[in-house]
Amino acid sequence: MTLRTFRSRLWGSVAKRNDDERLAEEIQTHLDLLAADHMARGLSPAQARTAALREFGGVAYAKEQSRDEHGFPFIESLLQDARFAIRQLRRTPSFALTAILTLAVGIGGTTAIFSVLDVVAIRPLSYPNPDRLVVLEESLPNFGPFPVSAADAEFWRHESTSFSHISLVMTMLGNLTGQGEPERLQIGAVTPGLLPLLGARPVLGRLLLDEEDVPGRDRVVVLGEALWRRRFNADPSIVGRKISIDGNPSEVVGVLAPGFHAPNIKHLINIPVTEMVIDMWKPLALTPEDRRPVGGYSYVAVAQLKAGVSLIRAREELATVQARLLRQVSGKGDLKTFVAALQDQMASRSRGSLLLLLAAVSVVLLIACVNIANLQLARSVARMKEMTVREAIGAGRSRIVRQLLVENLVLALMGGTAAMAVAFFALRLIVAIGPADVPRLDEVSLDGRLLGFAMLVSLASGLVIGLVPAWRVGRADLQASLKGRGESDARVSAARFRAMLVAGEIALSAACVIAGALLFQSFATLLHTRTGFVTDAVMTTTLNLAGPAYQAPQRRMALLDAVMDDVRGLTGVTSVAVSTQLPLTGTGAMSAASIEGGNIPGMERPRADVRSVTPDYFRTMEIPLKTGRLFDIADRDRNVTLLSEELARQAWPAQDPIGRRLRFGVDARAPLYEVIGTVGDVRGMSLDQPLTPTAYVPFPQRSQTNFTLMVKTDGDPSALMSRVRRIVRAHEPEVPLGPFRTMDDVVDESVAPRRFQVQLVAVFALLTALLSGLGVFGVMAYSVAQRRGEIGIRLALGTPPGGIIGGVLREALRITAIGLLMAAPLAWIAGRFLRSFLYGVTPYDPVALAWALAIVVGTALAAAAGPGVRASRVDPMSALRCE
Amino acid sequence: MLLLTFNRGTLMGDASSEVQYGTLDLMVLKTLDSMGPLHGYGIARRIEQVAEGSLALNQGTIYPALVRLEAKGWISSDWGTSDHNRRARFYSITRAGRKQLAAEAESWARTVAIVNRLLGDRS
Repeated sequence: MTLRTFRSRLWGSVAKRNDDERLAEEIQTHLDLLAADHMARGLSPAQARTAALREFGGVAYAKEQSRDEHGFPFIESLLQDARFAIRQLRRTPSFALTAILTLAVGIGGTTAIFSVLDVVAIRPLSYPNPDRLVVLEESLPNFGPFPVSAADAEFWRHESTSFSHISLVMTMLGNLTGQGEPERLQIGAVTPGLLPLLGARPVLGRLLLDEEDVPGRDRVVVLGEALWRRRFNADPSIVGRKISIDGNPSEVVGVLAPGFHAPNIKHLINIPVTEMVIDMWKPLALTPEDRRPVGGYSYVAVAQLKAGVSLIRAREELATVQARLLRQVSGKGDLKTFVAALQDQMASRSRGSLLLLLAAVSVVLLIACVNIANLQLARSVARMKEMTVREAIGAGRSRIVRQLLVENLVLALMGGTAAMAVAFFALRLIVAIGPADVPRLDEVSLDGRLLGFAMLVSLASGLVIGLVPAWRVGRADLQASLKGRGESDARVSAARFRAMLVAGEIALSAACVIAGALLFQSFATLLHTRTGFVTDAVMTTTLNLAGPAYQAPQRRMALLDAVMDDVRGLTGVTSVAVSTQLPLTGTGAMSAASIEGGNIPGMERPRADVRSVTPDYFRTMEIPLKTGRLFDIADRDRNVTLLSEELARQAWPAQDPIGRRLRFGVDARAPLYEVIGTVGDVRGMSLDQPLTPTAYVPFPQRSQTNFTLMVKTDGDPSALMSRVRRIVRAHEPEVPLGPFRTMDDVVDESVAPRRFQVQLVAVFALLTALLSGLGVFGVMAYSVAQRRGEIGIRLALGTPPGGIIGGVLREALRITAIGLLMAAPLAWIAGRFLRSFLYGVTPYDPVALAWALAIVVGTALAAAAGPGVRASRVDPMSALRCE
Repeated sequence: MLLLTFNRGTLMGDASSEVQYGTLDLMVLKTLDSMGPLHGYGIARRIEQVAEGSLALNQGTIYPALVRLEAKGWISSDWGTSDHNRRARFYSITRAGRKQLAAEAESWARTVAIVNRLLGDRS
């Protein structure tokens, strides 16, 4: 079509009425002239007019054809179909409302979950050059990957050619004091280059400088935007002021602009750590001690690939550099390097979980569409007469089918619009209660892309819904229906088809319910896992004793002794203890356990989680003593240690460890510790990890500034909170207290992500069961209504009402059985996929399967009960009369 | 007898429809070219005359063609008075229309020549 004809059509669609009138006038003139001609030849006026009409051909047809040359007939007929569809929907508001609501929930849920997935895994990170940002780690054959050592990173910086930048970051705690309530902050100690690398910009002042990355010149900080607002009231004159961190003054040199989301350290490394959102940044300022060749592996390395260097090349190149390093420095064993794209690393843990949720919610949507399709199919059978009349007055079969499709598209689009509201609230809900285990959750929002996605899903849903009745109508013999013949045949075959559709729904729903049941069972198993310690009635809080006043360990010990004495004196307290780390809150200090006289290479020695505890720790946590004895007060200055059974087994297999000695770490000059006993194993890291080999040393040895205070009571632990707080404050007003949590809370928090996932999947699974139950209800109700006559005869002949109900239930069971058969391969596939999410249960766990079966069959029976009872109440006389 | 028919449900004009509509369009253009401005009835009458009965034309089919030709800019229309003093819409060919006519005539001539050669070869 040329531009000219397009313009003409466009004009035509606007100026319709004028054109119509003009054409009518023209045709009338034409007819008059023709008639005049005939009259001139001798015909009477009436005959002349008839002859004229005959010669002209169809007037209406000519007008129609001409009209089609104007405007855009295709679009106009679509709009006509749409208007008709809306009118139809308004005539059956209950159907329309149900359908739109169902679609809104399905499409909205899918969009919400997809938007989370999009931000977490699909959308590029909001840093400059996101595809060139990588994380570097080190690993051992039987352990890792884990954070890197500073010396190794330094070597890579000099020797490797693949990276334009290697930065290190470590998180630490710091006490902010000097103004109001002391607070414990998370501090990110970084190589100054990291912040600009991630696109951070200052809104006040400046970022960190390289010359400040030296011990002695590093008492400068850059505040995060949230901290600045919350703690300093967004004071614009903050730059240049000194604030007190751990008792030492640090100068604020800048404030970060909002919108900077540092990657959460928790997501960058594979070792579980506690939640860390960084409040402020300071230079890393490595000391020579930190840079030792076998220094601590505590730094997260974020690097940028040089332009043009691929990830694969960088991996290979770094491996060669590492090989050179291992030749130069001994004792590192088979230490390998690991390079991963930053985005992958951040997304990897949640990606699988989100895909699972997306699959579940898509099934919900699919079942919802099939349900609506079922209803539409029933309605289309009832509208056979209407279709036939349409065909009779000239609609082609394709036009009729198209009209059905448009009806369903309109329905779906209306559902899609309502879905926006659902998605909005669902997103708010997810962001609010979703565990912070999902990275970048704060970047989630509803935007244009997602609206487009929702519309796409709506259109797809509309097509899915519309295809079924459209296909049926397309093949139907409409003429027969007008004559009244084919109607019952059509109804029967439609009914069978609908039953098949419902069986399909049940199959999908059963697969979903099985998945939900498996996850639920797995979670329950997890919660019942033996932790190795007792969690009830133990209150915990954390203290960070930093600052010049507490440099000496004796000072720290003195304060804690005083606090513990006072707390012990409170009524209801049965024991008090202090430890460097709570179980289930991440690793403690991991060290190699080097047994005396052993000659295993450093990297292959058993790894011990070393925790420093007071003697009452074991009593407070009810960790059993297995052999030997526990610590007493005198052990404080002695190098003695208690090992967990697993560690003892690894260090001295099949031997009695008591009396033997070992060192922590690979330095041969470190002090030897004598083993005085073994205790029960605990799960130190998380419930789904194996028991942690743990070594305990008497407090305050090997401790820093951060401790957990544990108080066991015989009453309600939360009642102690304020009293303990007062005691601590009385002894030291400037020490920030961490949150008070009971051990039960700690356990709960450690499983929060999993719980969230299970809850969501369970909700979706129950939704699918509900929807397929509705499907069964619809089909059964229809079947009963159709067979009233037959039912009436049966009742008249003496079948008890129970028998009728039984018949209906049996039919429902038959459909369910077919559905379950179809579900078997689906459930098998789902089981394979779920394997990585399950803890302690196999994908074929009989208990879970039994529950799932019960739910599916139970829903079907419950759904069929209503129509069944209705059937049994049929009045035989009126039923027979209606027939 | 050459019966001119049209497809039902025309979409916006495309190449394939030119093949069928083209014949009537060509005749209308030629008529206007030789006869000057005419109204619809006049065009239909003239085509009938020229075809000398070998065309069974439903006169009404002129009108869609006229709308189409006007949309393409090959003819233009205006109100005028016919003999018998009736108000009627008169159509006339435009310059673009004349160019189109010449092009179509040439293309017809080529087609006829090719077909003739083919038929000539066989005999």
